[in-house]
Amino acid sequence: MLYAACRLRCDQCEYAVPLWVGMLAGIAIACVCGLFNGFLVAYMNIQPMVATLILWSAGRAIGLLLCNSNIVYVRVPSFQFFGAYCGILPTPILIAAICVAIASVVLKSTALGTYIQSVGINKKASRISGFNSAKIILLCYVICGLCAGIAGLVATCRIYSADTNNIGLNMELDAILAVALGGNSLGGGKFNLAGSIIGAYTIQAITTTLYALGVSSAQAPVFKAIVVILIVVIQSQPVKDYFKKLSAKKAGAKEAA
Amino acid sequence: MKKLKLGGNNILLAITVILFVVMYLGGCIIYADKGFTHLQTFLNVLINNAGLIAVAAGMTCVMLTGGIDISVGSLIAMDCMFLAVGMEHWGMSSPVLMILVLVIGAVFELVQGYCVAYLEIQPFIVTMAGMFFARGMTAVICKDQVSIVSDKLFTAISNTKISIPFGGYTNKKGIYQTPFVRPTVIVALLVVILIFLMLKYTKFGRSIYAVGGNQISAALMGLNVKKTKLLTHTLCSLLTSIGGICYCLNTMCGTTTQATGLEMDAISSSVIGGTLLTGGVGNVLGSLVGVLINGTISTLVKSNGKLVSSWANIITAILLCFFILLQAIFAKVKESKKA
Repeated sequence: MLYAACRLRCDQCEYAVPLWVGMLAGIAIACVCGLFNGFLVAYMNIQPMVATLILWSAGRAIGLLLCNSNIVYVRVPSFQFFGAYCGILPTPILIAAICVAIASVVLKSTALGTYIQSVGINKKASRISGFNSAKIILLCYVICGLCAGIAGLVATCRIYSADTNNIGLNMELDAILAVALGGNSLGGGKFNLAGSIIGAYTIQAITTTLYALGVSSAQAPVFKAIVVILIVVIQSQPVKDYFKKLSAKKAGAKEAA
Repeated sequence: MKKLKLGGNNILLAITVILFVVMYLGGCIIYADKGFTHLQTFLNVLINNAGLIAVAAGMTCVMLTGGIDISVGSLIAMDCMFLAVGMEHWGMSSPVLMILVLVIGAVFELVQGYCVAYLEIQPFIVTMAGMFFARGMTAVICKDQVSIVSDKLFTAISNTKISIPFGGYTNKKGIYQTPFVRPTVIVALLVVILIFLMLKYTKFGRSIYAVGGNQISAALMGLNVKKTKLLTHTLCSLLTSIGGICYCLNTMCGTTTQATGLEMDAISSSVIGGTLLTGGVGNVLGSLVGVLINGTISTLVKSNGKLVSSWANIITAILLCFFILLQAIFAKVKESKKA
């Protein structure tokens, strides 16, 4: 995301390129990053956690390199449209709503959504059933890169500059937390888009509350980490089995009584 | 004498060692006038990365069981801040603090290891939460930078130089400079040797390899898989705490932004050293060479002077990518040979 954001700015200011070309170039770079990750995970069968680890560290370094470690300011007035207001509604909300609408249409109403779900639940069975699992996983990563690029665009527009060191810091924790809170299993398969959105708003509400209480931005991750651990522990298989046993015992006791 | 088989696992290690030798020789040739050929440069790589060596040894153990631990960087930051604040603000003595740091590290990882081993949660998620927790706790302990100046024992250890009798050079003023090594390097190398012996000759070491190779087979063989994983994670954090003490002796301060990305360096050192990401194959000595490669890259970038320091990160990431691809290709070749 920060790589996309920085590439955006550098394309515009240093090379005096028109606004739209710079933005599209940034989003295109983000898609290329998604393609790289998808290639590693889908075709080389590398664990996704480790494959994305490469860009996690390299992305920020490449972004710093592009900007020569400076913060690049954008002085084009029409650029600020994406971060500011569109009528009475703030533009980021509009962009988010459009993204969510497109995502829900694709995931719920098209065949691609069903393919994604089946590949997530059982990759081997899907391949035997005739899907090209590798291509679908690759497509998912490219879409993820695209969304990250759009997010980078909105983030840079809000501050009118490309700050490689601070944009997107710790955002992966928020993203995973939002998805986990929304009830999606972290192992893959069944998903709930509305749940993810509610999760994202919950995380932002927690963050804003923490700031209002005076917790500094460096200390806030402690609470978020505790919440993540609690949710993941509750979702884990042994705990679920434990609760099942408890309710079975209760049902048995009721029958006996 | 057993002959060294040049099998699939040894090829990766051989490539790593060759890469290191080539890189170092290249540096010697290109930057000979900037003092690269002196023994001190090699010793400086060891001194600056002593903490990383201990951490990479622990990370290798965890990766051998098939898991991963990305909380090590933040744990080191928390340890450094704890040591710094403890010595400056609370006035405790350093041996007590060092033991406390080891205990904190062990408890921290016991919780994570329990979640990974007994609750069967994916290690990446648990350790990522641990990473953010430790990073936040560093800020909770103290928000500003704290420098260690008052504790005499700690500063004495940090400034000790253990001289090596050979390989010195005469600098421009004509004074003979003996090369030196700090105590942290001795500690780190001792750790590597101990872990190597443990992995090769003890029952625990063999069960680590077994669990990493095939978890279900290991369980059917009668090994306690869950206990092994829990103990491995605890061992990793103990080694990380030792590495944290070495790191603190090197930097002598505690900041909230310390050691960011150290987990990436540890993981890439292990992978470059020949540890398979899926577990079951690996060697601590390879991780040592991986750390040396890491150090050589940053020394090369520094010696150049024209390249921005971010280039070191990029080159390490490219090397990591190259080695991951190499491992994947080897795995595919093995599978096609079996069938």
